[in-house]
Amino acid sequence: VHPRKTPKYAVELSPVRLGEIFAHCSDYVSRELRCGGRAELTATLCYLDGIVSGAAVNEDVLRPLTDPIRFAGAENPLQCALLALEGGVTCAGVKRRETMDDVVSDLTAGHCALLFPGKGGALTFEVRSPLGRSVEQPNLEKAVRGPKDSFVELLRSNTTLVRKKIRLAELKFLQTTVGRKTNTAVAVAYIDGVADPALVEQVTARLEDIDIDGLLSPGSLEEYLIGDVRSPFPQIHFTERPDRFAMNLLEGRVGILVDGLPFGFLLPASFLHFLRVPEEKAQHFLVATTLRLLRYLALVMATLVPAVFVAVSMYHQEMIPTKLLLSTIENKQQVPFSVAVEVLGMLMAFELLQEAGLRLPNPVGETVSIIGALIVGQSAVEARVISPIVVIVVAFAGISGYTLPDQDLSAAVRLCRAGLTLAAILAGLFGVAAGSVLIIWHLCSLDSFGVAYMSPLAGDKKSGGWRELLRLPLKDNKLRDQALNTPDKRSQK
Amino acid sequence: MLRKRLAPALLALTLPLLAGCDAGSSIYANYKEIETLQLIQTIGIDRRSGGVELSVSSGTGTKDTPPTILSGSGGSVSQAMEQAQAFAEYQELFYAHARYVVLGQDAAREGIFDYLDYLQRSSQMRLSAGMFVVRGGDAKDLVAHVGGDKSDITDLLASLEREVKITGQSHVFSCKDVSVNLSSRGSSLVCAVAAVPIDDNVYSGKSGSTASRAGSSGQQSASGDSGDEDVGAGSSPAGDAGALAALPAGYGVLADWQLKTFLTVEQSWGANILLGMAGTGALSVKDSNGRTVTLSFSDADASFRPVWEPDGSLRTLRIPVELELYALEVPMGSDLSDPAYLAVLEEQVAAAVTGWIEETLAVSARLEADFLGIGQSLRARHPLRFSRVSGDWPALLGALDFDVSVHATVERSFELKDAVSGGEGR
Repeated sequence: VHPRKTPKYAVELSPVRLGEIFAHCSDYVSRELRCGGRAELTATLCYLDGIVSGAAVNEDVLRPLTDPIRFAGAENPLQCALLALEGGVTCAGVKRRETMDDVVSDLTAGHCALLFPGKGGALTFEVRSPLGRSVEQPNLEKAVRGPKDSFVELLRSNTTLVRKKIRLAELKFLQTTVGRKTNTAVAVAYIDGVADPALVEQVTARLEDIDIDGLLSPGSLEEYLIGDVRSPFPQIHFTERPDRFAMNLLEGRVGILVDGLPFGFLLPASFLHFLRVPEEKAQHFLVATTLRLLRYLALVMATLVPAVFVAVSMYHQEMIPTKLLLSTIENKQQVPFSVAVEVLGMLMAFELLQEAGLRLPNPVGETVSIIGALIVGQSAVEARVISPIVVIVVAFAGISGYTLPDQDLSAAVRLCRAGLTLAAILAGLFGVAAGSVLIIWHLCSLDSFGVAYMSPLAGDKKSGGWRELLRLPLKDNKLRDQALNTPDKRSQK
Repeated sequence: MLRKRLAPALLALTLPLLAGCDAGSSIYANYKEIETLQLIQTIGIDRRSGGVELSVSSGTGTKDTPPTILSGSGGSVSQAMEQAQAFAEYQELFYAHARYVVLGQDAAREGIFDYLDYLQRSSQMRLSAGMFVVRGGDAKDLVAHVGGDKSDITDLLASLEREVKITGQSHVFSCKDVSVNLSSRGSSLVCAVAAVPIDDNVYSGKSGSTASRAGSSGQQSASGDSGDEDVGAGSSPAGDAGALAALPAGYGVLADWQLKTFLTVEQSWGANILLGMAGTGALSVKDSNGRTVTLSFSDADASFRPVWEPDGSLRTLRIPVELELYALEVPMGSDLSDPAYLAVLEEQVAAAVTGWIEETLAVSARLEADFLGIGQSLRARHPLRFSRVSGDWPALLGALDFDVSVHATVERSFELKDAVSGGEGR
């Protein structure tokens, strides 16, 4: 399916026109050849050098085409094209094309085109270059006990990785193209009979509606798929692990794989879904549940600790334990800034350090982190620019944020943390309470492809309730998430 | 659409108003710079010529900074606070962390309703603060003269609170406890503390080596030779320039919002046994050979059992008390496996404790003040019968006969040789 609704190259299909289209393209190669060595069966072979495999062109296309025996029965270019289509050429992927748009699209996708004069039309052969990195270990989602492979930039490699996990005919990959200029291949993955057909249809329809120049980053797709783009909270789940991708397909979710992106997208997403890690199923359920509860606690602390500290330090000093208050006052008397300035400054310094560490190459990034920690954590305290308690509070919130498995959720939490701190500066705990209510309100109002974002805590569809909050023994978890509305409700006997 | 988005924001902005906060110049007008706060941990209240004198101590800081002690007086607690604040220069006195409220004897005798009322109404004060009454002195004496550069009245009262809880000599009731008791029963106990010059009472060798240990050693004699009704009484102990020690001095009895009398340390211990707070204090008795044996309480259980007359009236209250003790110090050659030897000890304990309890009950009956909560106990166990006789419960309490029977058992009495040989003892 071509992303353009109207033909872009509404011209006749001929080598001359094709050459005009690819004018000034140094990687465009065009040559004439005689099929079966016969002059009346002359055709033009075109391809883009580099994205096609030279060996495949030679072995799978050129050699069979020039074989006189194979094309002995052809009397005109049209018959020659039909013979090639029916097996005269040994290339596995061959398509007959009638329009210039399709030929151009195939050429840019790594095919070579054979254009016949007159009514012969064109054939395109899939001789894509296997250029790309090999399957490696995941960078972001490290697995202690689990598969060590991760998605790569090639769509076909990624579908293969998933297919290897789920050896099932019902595993479907609906392929489409997104991007007017990038023509990026996108595959919608789901398991027929498990995923809600309405959900598959909805995802496919939204993909079809995307009409953009290029799809080169995950955000390009996410923002066009989700419902509320103004929400900072992630509404599509990313994973770089094929096992996690496959696991979610089995649960009834729909996945999206994009050519060029080493990630898989998963839909629909719920808030609690972002707090799960794949290792949970490899751990004892008590350990996994405890760690999951710890992550819930870390989420709350990462969001609220600086705000609550600011609130009680500025407005509600009676809530601070006496000895801690005494210690805080003694330290604070040496510091020239107010609590509000200290905390906001530290939060900003923390974010700057984090950004610096992320953007720089690894060895430099680590150095920046160490220097930053020393400057902010030690020198600033010794110079009495900030209070030790403020460093502790901000560092504690930061470390709590690092326990969140999803980077996008972590970023949203950092944004909320800053907002709540401002609310605390303005109105103390009342501000924190009001801000928290607004955040919860916002979260409860979100939905991802018809599923409440806060499911199972909110939403009108029945769900697993508290069972979803914990990691129960696998034997006890027989039903799929009811919020996903899967046709097949049971995941085990 | 815009209205829909603005609604939650406007709703949130109105939340501070729910707390009655001033929304004048800022959203929330309770802002205080934390570094300017001067925490007050002990508040002393005295009555001065129709007004109030307030003495406050900040307590020592975490870096052993000397305490800040201030005083102010005025027609009311608020005015006294304002005057004290005037002496605090740039620092703001912050009362939310007050751990103790100390009432002078005269102030308590005149009535504590006004003070408790202020504590309840003030947004800063905590009703969880422990309450003390100074036996025979002023609160200012304690606040100003107890402690030194590295400790203050707060530290010593905290130490005293822990000690009396362990020994069972008394108990520090919070301002809330006292308020609730006075409101519901009409009377309450309050921990009494005495201010004693250190030179005469601590370092003279009569007791322990430090003020707190000397005053709260917890060891009493069954002969009752330490129940000093007049401890610290008389002229203000602060008259001498020397520092003072804070010693436990039993309980003060509050009735009708006024201090009526004090219980001796032994009577207070008796009260605590009835209240289920006997602690693990030590008690010295004489064995059959006239030598001193020290026992420690391990458990005490008392109950109030009314003897209902055929006509439904109540004239007698039986109070069985079960005590369990263990030997703490035994002279050489004593045979703790001998039942006769133990019986002598147990009889003396029973006799001593019976005396303490009877004295305590006598005070309660004399004052017609149910500070032990006898009425509440009877109402809980015999609601119908008690409702028929409880019309004038204080008067009935004053007329009741108390039948106290104490049974003491000395348990867990190991011999040294048992411990060596792995024996289980008694």
